[in-house]
Amino acid sequence: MDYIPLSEEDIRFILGTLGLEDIGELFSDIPEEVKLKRDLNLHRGINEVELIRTIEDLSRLNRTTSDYLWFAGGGCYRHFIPQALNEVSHRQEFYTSYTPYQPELSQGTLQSLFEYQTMLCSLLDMEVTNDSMYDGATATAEAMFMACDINKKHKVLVARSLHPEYRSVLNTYAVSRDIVIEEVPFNPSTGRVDDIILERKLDGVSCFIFQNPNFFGVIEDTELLKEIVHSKDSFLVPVIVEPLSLAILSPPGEYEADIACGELQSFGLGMRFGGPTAGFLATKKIYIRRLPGRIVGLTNDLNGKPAYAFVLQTREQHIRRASATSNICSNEALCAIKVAIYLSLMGEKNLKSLAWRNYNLALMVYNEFGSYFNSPFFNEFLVRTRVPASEVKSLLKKKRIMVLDPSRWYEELHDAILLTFTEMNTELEVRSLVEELKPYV
Amino acid sequence: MYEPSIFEKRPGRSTEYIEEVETNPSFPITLKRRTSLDGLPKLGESEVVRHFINLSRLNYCVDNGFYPLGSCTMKYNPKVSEFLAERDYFLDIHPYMDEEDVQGTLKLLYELESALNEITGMDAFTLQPAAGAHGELTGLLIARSYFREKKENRRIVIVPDSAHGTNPASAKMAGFDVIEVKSSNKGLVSLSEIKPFLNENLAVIMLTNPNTLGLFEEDILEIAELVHNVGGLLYYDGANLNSIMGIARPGDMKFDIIHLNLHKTFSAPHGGGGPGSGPVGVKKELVDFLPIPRIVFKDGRYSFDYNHPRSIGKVKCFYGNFSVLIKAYFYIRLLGKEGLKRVGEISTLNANYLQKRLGDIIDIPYKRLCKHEFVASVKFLKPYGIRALDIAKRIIDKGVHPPTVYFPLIVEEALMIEPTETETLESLDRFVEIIKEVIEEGKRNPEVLKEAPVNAPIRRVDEAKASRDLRVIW
Repeated sequence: MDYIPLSEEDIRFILGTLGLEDIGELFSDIPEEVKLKRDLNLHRGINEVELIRTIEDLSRLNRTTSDYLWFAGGGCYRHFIPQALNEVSHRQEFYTSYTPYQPELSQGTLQSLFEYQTMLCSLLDMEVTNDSMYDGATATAEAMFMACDINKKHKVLVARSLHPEYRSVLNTYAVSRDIVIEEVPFNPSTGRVDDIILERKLDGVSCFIFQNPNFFGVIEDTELLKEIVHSKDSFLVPVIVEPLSLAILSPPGEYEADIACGELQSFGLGMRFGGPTAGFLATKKIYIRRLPGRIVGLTNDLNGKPAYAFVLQTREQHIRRASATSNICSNEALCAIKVAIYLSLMGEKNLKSLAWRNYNLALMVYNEFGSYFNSPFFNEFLVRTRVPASEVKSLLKKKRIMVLDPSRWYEELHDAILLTFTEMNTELEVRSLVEELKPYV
Repeated sequence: MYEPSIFEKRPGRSTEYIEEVETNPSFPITLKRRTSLDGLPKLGESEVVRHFINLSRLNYCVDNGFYPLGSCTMKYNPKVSEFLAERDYFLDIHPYMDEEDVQGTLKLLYELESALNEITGMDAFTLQPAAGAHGELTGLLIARSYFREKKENRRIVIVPDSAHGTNPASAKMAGFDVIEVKSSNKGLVSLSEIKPFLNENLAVIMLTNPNTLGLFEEDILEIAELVHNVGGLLYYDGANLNSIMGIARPGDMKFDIIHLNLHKTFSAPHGGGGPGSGPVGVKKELVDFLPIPRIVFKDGRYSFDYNHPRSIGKVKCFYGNFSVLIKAYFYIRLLGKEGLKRVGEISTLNANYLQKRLGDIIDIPYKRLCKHEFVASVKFLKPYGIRALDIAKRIIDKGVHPPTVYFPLIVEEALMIEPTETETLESLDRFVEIIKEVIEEGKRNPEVLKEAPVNAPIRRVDEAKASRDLRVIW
């Protein structure tokens, strides 16, 4: 089936208007040598019933997180999504409109994005933010570019405790601008950034990029990092992968982050096999002209009524072309709007309750087994195991419990499993986890 | 219509989605948040829902009516795709689930890659890039790695002056030097303009075909030969693939690297600016450079393969914008081979019909057979003090979305019009009438256009003030 509303008669009429007999004549400008002289080697079309049946069949090859007691995170978190968010964000006016280049027909998207900017800045305690990046990893890569462009240095330090896939994306991006990336290890007993090595490596460095809480769930000593990094005139760039932590944890603005970036998946976007989510990028107002991507500002219309529009478009590719701050065009606008709706529904009170609940659940397990690293955490931490982590993971899977094995990314962490707790876990589930884990810890 | 800012509403009480949990004193005080979160709304669910529903009503969208934005392919987005993409079995899957738990998902992605190969004539695809521009960057980083491995220090990327802004921006971001070449007076790539750059410094020529004037680059095979003869690569910007689907393939035009915009050609919605998806396809000699992981099918089992030492690495966390990818897959299955070709034919038919009918009332600088779109100019209205922007704003008053304006840059006072295949004859005819009315009004009384819009939710927006005063949070 297709979605073409023209009848055969309409088509004949149009062809007649064009003085053509056959629709194939519309392609007479395409050289014969490049024309496809056969049908595409694909299935024939199917109808809705057949599609749904096909997809339902295929879905039986899948399990979902609900088939498990789910304690796996690692940069993608299983969180509660209010139904109101799903209903409202699925309005056609939001999802079937284009980038709001005509502000008079796009106030809905523009005002929502402006409110997103405001709420995000409040959460991060930062001054300005754009309307989203593709995801946390690409936002971090753009933060790296921004820092290097602003302070004209080309060496970047990255904490080894930053999400491994983020580090991989940074490496891919860095090549293009000849940026040199050096890794800063974590202290093997605390899991925190090794501040002595950090200090030693800082000369001539554009920025220090670290995750907080880091990939192991460890909360960094951000005050200390701030002092060290700023004393060498480098930029402090925290990456927030679990933004719910900010309901109770010191946000980037409090420790004077120069650029803050990260991931918003936790705020009502769902897991979706990892995407689409939304990355964020925030900074100080003095650097607003260096921000990539779209930014909405408040202005007024001809009648003096409040109105919203994109600002500083001369930073962007459609105006500045090769000299733009970035090539980004499509972003994750709809995800940003979902985040605005999520934060509006939740407000301070729900966010705090969620954060404390998740912390408390993690604490239940910590009180039983302690943690691999001797440091504070939020809702994610490593537990030391007596058996290799890969085995523990498989054994738990047989009991329908899912955890992450960090040795997949960190060889040295072969005797620890990474546990994550969210409001989707019940206390009963957590007690089951404790019982099942006992033999291996 | 007007909806106050959410921050102007009188604070009430948030709906309690979770039982209140007390502060836990065991959390280290020095790490605790000091700044208040008072800035977040304190509103019940009903108020929040009303606010965002009212905001949504201030938007115009494809489901409202005609949206002929050139180069954006604003076609209808099938509802069954939206329905299926939100099923639990696609929503509640975590990227780090074991491969054995996501065989259905991997099968779907694998089949999508194969279908895209067949539709475009390429040898392999990555689904990782999150948008068209992200695909461009990925493709150019692949080119960069390819030349680096050959120990060739090629610096130059050529783009036509009619190219999308993302092309030069991506080339720059990938570390190349960009040269923009003038189009010929036929609106096509000029061979004489590119010839001076055909040497050992040339890395890539980026083309959009059909180009942004809606014209098919007839000399494409000659261009390809010239580029390949000096060892360069040819890049295809897939933004305009819609009108040639099933009719001609970039791979057969000898393109080496291409990206697609699944949110254009393959009917995934635009979401007010995203999420999109920009898969990248390459020819055999470049396959090893694609981002990791690749999806492989071996011994009846689908899995991720990370073992590609020549790969450029990862360009995004996880595997791409999955929910967008599956909508493209649904679309391909629904339409099938005959439906996709029909899309190419009818989108071209509609564009030519509009071009023909508008040709009598408006200037069309490159008037010949077009593909998915065409570009008109309202330069002839300058004596009346009317500009393309004024035309656009008055079109708003007539109840449809205006075309893209001021692009491509090589046409003065441009209106770039792309009707797509999902419009009725009635809607195309109505658009012609609207343009006629607007031009007549403009000639009779230019003020009407300068004052427009008057029927939109708000009057004309002072965009200059927005950038000057720079108020970017409430």
